[in-house]
Amino acid sequence: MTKATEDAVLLARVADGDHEAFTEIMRTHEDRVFSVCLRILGNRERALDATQETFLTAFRKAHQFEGKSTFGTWVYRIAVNTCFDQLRKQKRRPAEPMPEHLDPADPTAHETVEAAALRPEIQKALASLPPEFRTAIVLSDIEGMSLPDAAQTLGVPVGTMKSRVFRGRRLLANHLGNQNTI
Amino acid sequence: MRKHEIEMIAALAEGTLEDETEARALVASSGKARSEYEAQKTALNALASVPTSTLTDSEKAALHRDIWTQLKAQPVATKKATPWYFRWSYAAAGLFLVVGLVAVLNTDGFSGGDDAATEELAAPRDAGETADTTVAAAGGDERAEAPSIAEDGASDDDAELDNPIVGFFRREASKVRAGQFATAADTGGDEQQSVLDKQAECLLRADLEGYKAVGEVSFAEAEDFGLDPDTSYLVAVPTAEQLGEDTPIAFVEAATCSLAHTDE
Repeated sequence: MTKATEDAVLLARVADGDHEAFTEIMRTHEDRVFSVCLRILGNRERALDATQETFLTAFRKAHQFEGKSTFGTWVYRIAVNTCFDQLRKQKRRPAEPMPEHLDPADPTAHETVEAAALRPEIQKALASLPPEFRTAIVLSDIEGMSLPDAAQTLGVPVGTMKSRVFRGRRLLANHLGNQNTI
Repeated sequence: MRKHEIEMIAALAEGTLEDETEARALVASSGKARSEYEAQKTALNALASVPTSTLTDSEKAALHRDIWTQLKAQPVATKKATPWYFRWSYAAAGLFLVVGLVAVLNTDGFSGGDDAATEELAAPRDAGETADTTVAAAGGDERAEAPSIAEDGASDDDAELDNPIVGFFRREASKVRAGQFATAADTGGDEQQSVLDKQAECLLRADLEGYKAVGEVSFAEAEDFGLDPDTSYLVAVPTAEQLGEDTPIAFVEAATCSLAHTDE
């Protein structure tokens, strides 16, 4: 059974109310989906919202998943679209700092949140990129996806993905350079 | 720079070239190539310091709880198997309707009518799909669910079928290259200069140094795609180039000065 077929079977079990299947899918994909959302949106709270929205959409539209790509590719595409939707709603406001409040019952939360924080200049430079370039950089250079996988996730040709990554890096370098001269 | 050179410089910066001789020679001999290489290296070095980000245990617990609660409250739709003849009967009925409609519209009383309307009726639509789901809906994984910002580089037919926005930008770009692009009337004087200055500033904010604005477009059909019909885009071309088939045409969202699409 291929991975895509296994995912399709798990999704069908979730539709039947199987909590174990639900937990397995979440455990496999939640961190990476969250990471993609966090780097695109630059804000932890919005990334959490986008992550929740992504999985809800994925489970609700599970009947449309036919296993022609892996579930991972499919759900990351949903995540990117969800983040773009959020960006359009917030009209590209600059990224806000991460919230101070953390759940006091989780002693490791503070370290986890701090560890994920970007250096301010990189956060600012990444946030200034147009969404399509920022996403290309996030998928390729931060999440380490291969160009074909990233292209399939976004539904664009590999050549387009290469172009976006190249131009995104150029823009990022320009912003970092400009910040250094201020 | 040519596409091959750009790819070579990117690969050199990534450290993925088996033989770096040609790439190193290019970088050594061309100031432009060296500048591009240094930009790629700067970005890659900065991004290498980006830490992995994971959910905290409490965030995971809350996520699982919230999603599961909502799924239980609204049961997930399942695909029901339908006999093949049911599915084909819908397709046959649709085809019959389209053929009949085309025949009616092509009668004498309608000759010279609206070809665009006929084409729109004949265009394939997935059952249940609405135009305003272009951005956020998952859809079938075999369809290209491209992000809302139009992409560059796709073939004409694929781009238009998968993302109407790309098709729109491509059509406008063709008009610009053919010199058929209608621009706003020149009001002259200080007012015109003020408009030009604002456009130039917007292009700089979109990192389009070396480009000039030649006009604006907006989505007249925007509502069909679920987009804001008030969104307008500056159309920009490289200042130093003669307009030709290969001239890149950039579209910048006027309100945010963000690059929306480049047609190359």
